[in-house]
Amino acid sequence: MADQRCPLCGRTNSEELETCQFCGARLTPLVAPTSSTQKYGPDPKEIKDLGNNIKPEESALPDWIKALRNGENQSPQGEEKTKKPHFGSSPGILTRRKPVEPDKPGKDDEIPDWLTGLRSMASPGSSDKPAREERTNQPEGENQVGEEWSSLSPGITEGEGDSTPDWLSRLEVEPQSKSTSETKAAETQPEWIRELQPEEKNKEEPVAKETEELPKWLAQLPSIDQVEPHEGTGGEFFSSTDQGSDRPATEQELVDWFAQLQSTNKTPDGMELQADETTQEGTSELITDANQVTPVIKETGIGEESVGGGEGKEKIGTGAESETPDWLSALSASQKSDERDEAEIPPESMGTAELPSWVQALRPMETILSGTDLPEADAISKTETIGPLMGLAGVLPAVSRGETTHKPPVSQARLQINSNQQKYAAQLEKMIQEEGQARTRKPPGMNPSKVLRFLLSFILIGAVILPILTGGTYTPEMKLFPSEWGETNQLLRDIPAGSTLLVVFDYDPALASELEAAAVPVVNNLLTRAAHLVLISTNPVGPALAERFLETAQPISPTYDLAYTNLGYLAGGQAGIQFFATDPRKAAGFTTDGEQAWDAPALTNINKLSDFRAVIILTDNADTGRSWIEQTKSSIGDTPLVMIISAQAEPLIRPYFDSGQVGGLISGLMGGKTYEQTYATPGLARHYWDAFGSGTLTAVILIAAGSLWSAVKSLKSRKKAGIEK
Amino acid sequence: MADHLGDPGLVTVESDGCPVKIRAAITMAVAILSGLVVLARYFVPLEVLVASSDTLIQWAILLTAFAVLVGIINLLTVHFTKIARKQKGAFYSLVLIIGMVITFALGILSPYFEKLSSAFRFTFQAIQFPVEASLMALLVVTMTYGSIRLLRHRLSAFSIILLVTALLVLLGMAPLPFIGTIPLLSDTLRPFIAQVLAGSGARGILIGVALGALTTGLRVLLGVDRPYEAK
Repeated sequence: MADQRCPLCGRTNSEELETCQFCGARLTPLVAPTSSTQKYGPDPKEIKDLGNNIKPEESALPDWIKALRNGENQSPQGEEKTKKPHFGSSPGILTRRKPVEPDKPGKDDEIPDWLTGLRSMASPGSSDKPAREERTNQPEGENQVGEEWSSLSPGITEGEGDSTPDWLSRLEVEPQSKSTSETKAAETQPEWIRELQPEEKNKEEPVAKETEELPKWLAQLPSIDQVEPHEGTGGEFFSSTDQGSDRPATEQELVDWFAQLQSTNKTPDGMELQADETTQEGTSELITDANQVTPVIKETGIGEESVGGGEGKEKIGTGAESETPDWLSALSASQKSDERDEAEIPPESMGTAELPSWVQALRPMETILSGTDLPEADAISKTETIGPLMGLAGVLPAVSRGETTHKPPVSQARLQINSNQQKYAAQLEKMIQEEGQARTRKPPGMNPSKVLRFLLSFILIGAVILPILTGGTYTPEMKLFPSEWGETNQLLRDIPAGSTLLVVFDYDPALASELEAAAVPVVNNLLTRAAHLVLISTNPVGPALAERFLETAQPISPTYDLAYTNLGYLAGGQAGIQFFATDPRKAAGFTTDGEQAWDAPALTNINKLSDFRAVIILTDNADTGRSWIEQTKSSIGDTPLVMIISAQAEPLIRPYFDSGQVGGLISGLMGGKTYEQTYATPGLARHYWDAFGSGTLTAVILIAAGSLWSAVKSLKSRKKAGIEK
Repeated sequence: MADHLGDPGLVTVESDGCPVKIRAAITMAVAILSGLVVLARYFVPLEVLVASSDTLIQWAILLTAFAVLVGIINLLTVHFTKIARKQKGAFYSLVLIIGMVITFALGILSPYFEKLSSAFRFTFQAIQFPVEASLMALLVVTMTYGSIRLLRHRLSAFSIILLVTALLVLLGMAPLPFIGTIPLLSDTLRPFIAQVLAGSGARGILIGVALGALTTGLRVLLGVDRPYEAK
């Protein structure tokens, strides 16, 4: 007896045990009974037990089996092949319960459940006992198989009272009255066969003509010959017996059919059972017990079932080959050979139905994942009978026998996406593919845009430098002054000599040239009037710019005396400006040289912002200018505020001038040139004037010409694109 | 009131079922009070309010100046890390640090050493000033190139209007060689564009900025916005 290993503790246990004797774990999986296995599936354990009792010696055969074999040998068409004990010739599985001999009364109790279920299914209205009684009254011999069949088909047996069904008898003679036989057969058919008919009727339409002599329901059943027997399987057995046997085909095939039915566990309603042990670990081997004349299933290999007898074992087909009872198709050898040619349709030639992809996408998931359903109700109602969970129902998930033998369901991972998503996916795929490809490098050289940029640079630089290098005066003086100039000029003129002025340097070095050109003439004019300048900046580089500004400023007269106090950097942004406006001494107490800022004689009277005679703000940033205007508004009093700004800040600062918050406004190079031209003091503005004019004109020409060229090209490309579309 | 077990520094108060951090409440109270004091001095010029306002503004200036110092330290740290890890551009980080240290030293010592003062001035005028001016000059070329390519990429009515306006303002502002100013363009059209059209837009922007600043100030004063809270 083989031992089995506990899956939990790993110790070996006797095979008979269901639970581990050491840890109490279940050794055999809890299996939810399926309807098919209950009816037809022989218990593997029982089968194994039966297989252990095999006694192949022919001498041990009971007399009735010997007599049966003799009868076979004495059959008129008997041949050597039929002498071999095979499943069809022996009573086989149908007759193993036949010896209800009085000396073996206990055997009745050993009827396997699957056979009982089969009988009960076959004769739902009758119990086992009447069937056995009926069998005991019938003669033994060749008709034994038919007798067993009649027990499975009580309708036939009861109707005729003969050991052989009348329809079989009539088939042997000649089916003269087809219509009556059909009606009778239909009446006497088991229920499961009647359920089977509609499906098979559709499948077997091509064969119907050839089998029109048969009862209709038999003709509609699929012929076993449609399945090609292959080597090493039961097909060989069938072919050998069918070809050589002269015994009535109905009887012989009846048993074969049943053997196949058992091996494939074909359910009456056409559902193929999931083989238990046979398909779980391979297949089983059917061995005919010589003594008990009982087919015993013994596990052998994969895909094989062998029928054993006293002389050996012969393999029978399994699986799809035995889905149809071959005895139905083997009614006559001549018919069979003809039918093979015409009715045998190779499965390969039957193409699967090809549904459109959108139809397949609409399929419910249940159709894709078929076969994964568990008998949930059974599983839930399954009550543990052993182990620590004894008495509890539905605690452990039941494992279906059929499920274990199933291949993993092949779920089609087909995305349900629309055309747009497909397009995006294709684009993404294309991008990914392009990522992997080596990019073709452009040939070394200048691309057109680079050439254009270089060309523009050279032209603009040349236009600016040429007037400076030549030193000529190509641009006439200004004839029109800015509108703000009159007011600003008057304000600057009103500043008395020797005044203390606050000058704010809040601009960046990038725009220093523009602001210096605009502010230098103004500051020079103020310095000539002995103005004391207090320099401050909210820009960290402002103090350095202020120093540079004063160095750049050219003295207008020899009496020029530079007097200034550089307070340096004023931190705090707007808050710093606001604080400086309220208390300049506290906000900036020291100069950039580290000295006390307010000790100078010119600054002794300066305590607040309004004490300055004028506040001049040099800035290129509109926000900075706005901060100075707004934060000093409450503290500046009547002190005039003059803004010398870059041309780019003019649009935002001009509203303050227009509203009167700013007293004077000098904007850009034109403002400085205006001041120089007014006071006839040529300075930086005049120096830059020609370069500024030529450079601006060149830029205007380049932009105009280039834009025209770009517009024409753009229109051409649009037309081309329109034509292509 | 119940102590917050997770953070001993935080004390929560149950107020209408919502826990309020006292720390946040104090912070909000300080912010609102400071704003109100600085604002009130313009409406009620009491000596106490003015003095308090000045003190608060000085603190703000100190904090701002210290923030600049923190920024410089952070910049040094970032570039030191870059050099230590030998990342890409580490050489430029090294140049930056060297330049920063040298300039800082010169700036600190220049008031006390005359020679260093001239050296400090030289670093600005010979390096920083030309570099920034050159970048501005490059902008001229870039703007010209961009204007040329504008209609190539976006040929639309607004693009054409933008280009035509720019050309008119340039022609009206700049003195043309041998021509000078263009009569109608320089004295009428350009001032109209710069002072009326652009001025109107600028005023709208300024009013919007003022309203935004007012709203922001009110929200801070009312405690709706709490920019001082760490998020």
